[in-house]
Amino acid sequence: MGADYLPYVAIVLTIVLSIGLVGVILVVNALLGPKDLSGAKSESFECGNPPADTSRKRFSVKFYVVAIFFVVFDIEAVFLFPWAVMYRDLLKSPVYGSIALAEVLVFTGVLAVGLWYVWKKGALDWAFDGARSGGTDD
Amino acid sequence: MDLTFLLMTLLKIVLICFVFAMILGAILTWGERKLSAVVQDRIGPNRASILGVTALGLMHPIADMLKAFTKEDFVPAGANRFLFAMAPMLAMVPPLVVFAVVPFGPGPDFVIAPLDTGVLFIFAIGGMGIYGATLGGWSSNNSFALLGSLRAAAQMISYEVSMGLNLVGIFMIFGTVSLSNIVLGQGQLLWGWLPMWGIVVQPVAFILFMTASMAENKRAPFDLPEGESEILGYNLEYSSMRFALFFLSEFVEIVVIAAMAATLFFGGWQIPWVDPQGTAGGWITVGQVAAFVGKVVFLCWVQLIIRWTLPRFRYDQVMALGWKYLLPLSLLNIVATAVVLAML
Amino acid sequence: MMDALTLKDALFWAFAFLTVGFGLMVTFHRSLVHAALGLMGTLLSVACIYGLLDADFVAVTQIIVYVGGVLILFLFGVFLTRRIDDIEVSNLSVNWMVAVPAGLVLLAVILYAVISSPLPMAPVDATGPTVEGIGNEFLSRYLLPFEVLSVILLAVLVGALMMARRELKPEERD
Repeated sequence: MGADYLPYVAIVLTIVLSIGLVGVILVVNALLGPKDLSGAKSESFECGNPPADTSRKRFSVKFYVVAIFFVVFDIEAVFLFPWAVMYRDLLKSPVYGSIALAEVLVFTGVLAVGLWYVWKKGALDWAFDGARSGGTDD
Repeated sequence: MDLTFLLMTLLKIVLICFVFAMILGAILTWGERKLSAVVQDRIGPNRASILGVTALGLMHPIADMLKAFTKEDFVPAGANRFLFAMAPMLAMVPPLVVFAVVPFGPGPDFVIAPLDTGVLFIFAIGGMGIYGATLGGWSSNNSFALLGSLRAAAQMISYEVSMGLNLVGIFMIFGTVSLSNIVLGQGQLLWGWLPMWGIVVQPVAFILFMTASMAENKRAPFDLPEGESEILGYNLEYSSMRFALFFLSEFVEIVVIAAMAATLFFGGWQIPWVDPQGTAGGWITVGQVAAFVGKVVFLCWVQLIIRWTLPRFRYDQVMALGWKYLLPLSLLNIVATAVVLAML
Repeated sequence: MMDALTLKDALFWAFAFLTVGFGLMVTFHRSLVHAALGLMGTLLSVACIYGLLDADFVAVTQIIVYVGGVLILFLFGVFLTRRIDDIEVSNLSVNWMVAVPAGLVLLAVILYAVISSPLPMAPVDATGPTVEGIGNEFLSRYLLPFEVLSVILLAVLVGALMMARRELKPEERD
């Protein structure tokens, strides 16, 4: 039973102390600052105009699609990390070395195909459709 | 688990996270303004003084802090009070915690927590900075803040992908994800004379990493979520120290990026050709810690000068750069590194 | 030595209670965004438990993929729904007659799985850096799953695009 977990204790301490410090900053600010809420001040700020419309509205589905793409490539990265760490050791043996190389070529290749597919389908384009057809954007 | 360990850890946390990271971040707010003034041929901040000492305007961060403390921490109507109060904390804490695994010098004495998975820990915790921007904008009940927060979230996740992938080359070459071991690996010499720093063996990855991490920090030329000069950002409804925390977190993240880049690409605490194993002790160790701090400060300066040199992108260009250039290039970098290593 | 063990145990129990507590918050909080935040707490506590068990790579991966990725997806999903202010139902009021038996059955299945499995204990010398070990496994025993995973991820990419295509095609600026 070694002291393997001590780094985690240190990290938990860091997290607790950081939250504590930020919390103290916010509390001191709340104590020092004035409290003077008036009607106009608490309106949402739209450069002085009355708010045009509620802020709770739907937004473009593109954000959601990008988030899915992100999860996919995030998982790819996470699976590449252990492979990358072992790669040079494996190269020392001729059999495993070529397997390791082939493995990652296939792995990234398949995902590169996926990236190419969503690219061609236009899921990565964020310009206004109007701007593209109008020819102002290129 | 004894008292010395606890006290040493507390001391290190205070010195590294609070003194080094936060104070350097605060100084960078001054540096940003002074540097922009130099770039634009102005004088810049020079008024604030304590007993007549202005110190080139270095008193301005102190004045800013005092001002932020004495302002009203106001909550707009219709805002989600709990999340509105949580968001600045979620923005500020992750960049501070990241410093727990950064080695400031040789050996376990100069790092708070020598994790075997150091780099991945930084990704994991750094990635949580998204929540500060997203929840802050969403909870403010303001259309512009919401738009800013969505842009921030989409931009940050887009660049986080390439940030993770373009470091795979470094992991391949040094065969580890532990920051301390990567630094030790960079003490080796190529052909007997060239220090094997990350920037020498992975130059493409360095450029991709700096681009991706600056974009993830939402700074110009990628400052679309904030657009401090004209667009309104996700922190639009924030005031007082709550705003200041968002602001400061951006600068602490500059320090984080500089520390990561220094560790992964500039040899960390290594001084070229001097004591690569970090066992010398004495003044050499002091010099190595100073070398690390110097590299961090230099890389902070690089980020500031980039911010004041380049014009801003359009939003579709930001997303295109992330997905159509950085991501394929990162994948290509992995494949190229794998092939080259196999041929060596 | 005894001291160290009890501290580890104390941390384990603390994180276990946090996990359950945040889980209850996910289940019972009336606001979806708060429930998502509770889920973040649950995932982080579970990551801490992984860390305590010396599974450092799994702990970090848990945060990278779930907290940094999947939960962002959830939040976007919540933000995508119209009139989020009105969605105060979360989970409580809908179909609890069905939900309670279903939950009990699930609990029974999980309990059976936990009790009946041998739960191998890693020998002490197996601790230390786990990344290398996992990398080795990917290249030997789990080579095929590793490659199949890339195809699954490809399917996710295509599927996401298919689902969103109808929305992406027309002018959807609103």
